[in-house]
Amino acid sequence: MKRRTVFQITALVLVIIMFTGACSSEAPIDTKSKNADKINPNKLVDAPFEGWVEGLPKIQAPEGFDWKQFKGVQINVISENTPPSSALAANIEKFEKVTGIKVNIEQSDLGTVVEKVGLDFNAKSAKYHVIYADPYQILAKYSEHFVDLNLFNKEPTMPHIPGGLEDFVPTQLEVLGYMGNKEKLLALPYDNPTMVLAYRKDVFEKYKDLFMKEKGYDWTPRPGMTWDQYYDIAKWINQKVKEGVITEVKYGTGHQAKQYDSLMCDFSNILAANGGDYFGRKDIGTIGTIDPGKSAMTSKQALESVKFYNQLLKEAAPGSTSWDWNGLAEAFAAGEIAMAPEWHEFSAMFENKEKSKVAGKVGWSLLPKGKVRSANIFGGTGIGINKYASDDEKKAAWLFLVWATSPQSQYMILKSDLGGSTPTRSSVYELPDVKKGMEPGTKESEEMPNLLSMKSVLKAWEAENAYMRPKIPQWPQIDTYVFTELSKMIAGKQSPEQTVKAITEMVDEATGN
Amino acid sequence: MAPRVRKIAMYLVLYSIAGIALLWALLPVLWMLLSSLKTQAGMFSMPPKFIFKPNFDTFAYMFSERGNFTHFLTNSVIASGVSTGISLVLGTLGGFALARRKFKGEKHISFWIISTRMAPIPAVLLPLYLMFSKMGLIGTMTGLIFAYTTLNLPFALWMMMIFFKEVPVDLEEAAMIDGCSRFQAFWRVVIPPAAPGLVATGILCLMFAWNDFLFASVFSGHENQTIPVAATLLITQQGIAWGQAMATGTVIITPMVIAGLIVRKYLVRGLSMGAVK
Repeated sequence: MKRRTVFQITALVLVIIMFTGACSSEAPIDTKSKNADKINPNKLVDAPFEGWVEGLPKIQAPEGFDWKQFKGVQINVISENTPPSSALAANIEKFEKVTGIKVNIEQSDLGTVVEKVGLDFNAKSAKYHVIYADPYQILAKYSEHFVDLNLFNKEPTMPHIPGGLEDFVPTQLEVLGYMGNKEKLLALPYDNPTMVLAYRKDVFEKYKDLFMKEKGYDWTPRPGMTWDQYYDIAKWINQKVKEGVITEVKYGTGHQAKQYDSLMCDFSNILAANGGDYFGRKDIGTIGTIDPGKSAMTSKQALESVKFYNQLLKEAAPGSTSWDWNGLAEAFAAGEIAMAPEWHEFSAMFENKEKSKVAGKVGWSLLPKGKVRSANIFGGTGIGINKYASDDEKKAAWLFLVWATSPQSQYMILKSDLGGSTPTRSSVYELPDVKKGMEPGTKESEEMPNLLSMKSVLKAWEAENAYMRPKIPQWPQIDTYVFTELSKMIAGKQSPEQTVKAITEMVDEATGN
Repeated sequence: MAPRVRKIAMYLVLYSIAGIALLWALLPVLWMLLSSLKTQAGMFSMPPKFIFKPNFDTFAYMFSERGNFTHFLTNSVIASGVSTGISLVLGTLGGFALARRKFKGEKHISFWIISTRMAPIPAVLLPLYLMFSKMGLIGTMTGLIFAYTTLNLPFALWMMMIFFKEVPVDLEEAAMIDGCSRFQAFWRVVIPPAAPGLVATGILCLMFAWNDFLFASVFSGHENQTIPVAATLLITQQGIAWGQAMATGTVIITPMVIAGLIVRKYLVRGLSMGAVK
């Protein structure tokens, strides 16, 4: 046979193998417990974890369930370098001791996590079994690569979600757990940073009367305060700092307006407060869709918001254009700024006397109201299971998910000095010590400093105050367009009109509309 | 202007430019070194202090059980050291073959080898990931060493080929006439004059592997993360651990600076071999 013929036949065989491989149907997942025949699914028994906290749902399994059945299985968890992951990693022996499963928690910055998860999914590999499913960068784009968790949660021979799905905040479960529809549960809420307003209580108390005398209204940040008032207050503080009257801070407001994701978040609070959004569809921020329709940035509300944001940034601390949320938090902690829209979990940093000059002086409130409402952008994430893992790995990963997202573990994370993240479970916020921790000056608030922001955050989570950005596969690209164009405007390179026009055109091109 | 004055003026200008360039290059490093020895409050104090009581807490934390830095350091040493060693051995043998052996398409092969370094790393990540995934190398130290060797070997081959071409063939032939085998002639006669080149190549390979973040972030696993990857753990949702970041930066650059200083004589000789001919 000629060499050329051999080559052609080999190539043909390879193409056929690749084609049949690509078309092969997926085998159904075996979700049953290994000792399913010895299990009584009608009776639930507490899992053998120690240190149960009274008042919280316990992790349970059907009678006869062998918690050690996956002993020796190793699961890799990939996560952003977040407080819950650090706290879980520090306490992972509690899970390993009960299950015999070895858990490796790998943490990186979000960009690296997105890249590694993308590579793993595209290679149909399962280097990572438990995935940090950022709803915008990972879940929306790779939803078909996740296991439907309903299969495990409804399996009578396996442990179920303690406290049930209803113990998660409903809007958070929608945005973090589903994609496109509610048929498949793809991830469980894991962390929940939300933007609210941090302000200097000492400054607002000290100069309250002076402000009232000059401006005629109470300036204390609270629900109902408007963005126009916010601007007015920021400008007044700047003026008084210049006059040498206010010495505690250098600027009225600070923003995270670096040409980065943070700028989009910062601006979105104003856009949504004015009744605007990036797309017209109502459920786009919660359930998500692959077809968002045309951009809504042509709206009057969008243009007004862009104009207002541009005006507001002129009054903000000059460093604002180079700060992301970390930069802004550091400036606030250094005592430079009187008010800042910031992620609530920075409360722990602000109350840390080693890192902050403003410990004990920080108040929290809902973000100001726009023309329509107060909009507080939500930035939480869920965790899900890689569908390319083996059945045993999937089941071991499910046990990990049950444990990691349980109210008991969420409470442990809240109390951890490595964690400090706020729980995703409603039941935890009903505990007496957690309620006490939301009050400044209590022993509990010193132990769990993130709770100081929680009163405002719980309000921010109510559907009318929460803002969920569009959950669509094209979002990372659109996010870049939004912050790039806004950044050009803030730098004075283009007008607000040109900004909304540019965003609209690019968004429509990205979504094919 | 008198020639002497003109010469002094010229030197003044040149030294000023050199001084500014040096300041430009060294100030960030100096800032990092000083910051690593300050407290967090001291790090951000304005105006900055250049004389202060050094604080070694961040270094102590890094090398404590909780900081786990010794583990990351060991991983970096193994990954960069082994990949450099493999690249040097194979690169030396391959480079010698390419320099001496005459065969059809020799130039094309040489160019093809170095062309593999022309693709940006992100472009080769997915194919490498697919291959490594099938071979079970993702998340292993072996995989990381393979990844580094993939990029270092073509470079080492190309460099060593150039260095060997500078060594006269006559020397080997004379040695073989005197009774040396081919390998003995290579080992005893060719390697010594090419040693500066070997050192220069080794240092450059080592630097690539030591400083790499992209490969390490993708191919390493929980157990074998290297220092540059560990450095990213200092950026958290609740802020940046500046003190540790500065201390980590200091630890990352120190071995390479020391290695560079030790072998700088060879480095300069190696990189300038054949420059004047």
